[in-house]
Amino acid sequence: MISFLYLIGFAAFVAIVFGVIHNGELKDKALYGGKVFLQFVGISLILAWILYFLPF
Amino acid sequence: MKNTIFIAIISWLLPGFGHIQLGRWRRGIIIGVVIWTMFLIAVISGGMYYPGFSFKDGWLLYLLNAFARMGNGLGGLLSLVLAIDPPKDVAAWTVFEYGGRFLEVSGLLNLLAVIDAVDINVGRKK
Repeated sequence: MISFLYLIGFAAFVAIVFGVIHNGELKDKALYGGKVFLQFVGISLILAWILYFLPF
Repeated sequence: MKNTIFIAIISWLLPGFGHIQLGRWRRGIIIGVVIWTMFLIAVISGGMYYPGFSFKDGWLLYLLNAFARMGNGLGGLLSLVLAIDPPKDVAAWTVFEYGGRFLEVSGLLNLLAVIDAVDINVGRKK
């Protein structure tokens, strides 16, 4: 559980900074930040499941 | 336009402060809060003790870590001081590796923020 919380926190912090420095209006920044967050979490979970089934 | 070197240095030293100097209060406060929070989480998790081995054993990893953590500015310098006397079992902490990553990435995010502040100062960004 703690690992998942660190993952969510890490993704959130990075997404917030990426969103803030992104060009565009507030809506564009928020959408971009949200996209970055979901990509971080989604790709991490996919990789976690792939690695779970690998024998080594 | 303010002195670009000053903006870069103050932005590096105090995360978010460069943007505040440029009048971008909201941006500066958000960046400052996020980077300092990541830094605090890193310190609580034992990240400042990473990598925990001498330079000659793993110099590339050591250099990457040193470069990234110094991106924190004042926090990077503080992390060097805090790492002077590590607990014996720190590498066995569950969150030790996460702390190391948080410290490195907060430094790298601050470097991104420095570039952003400089871009705003020279007019490349609105």
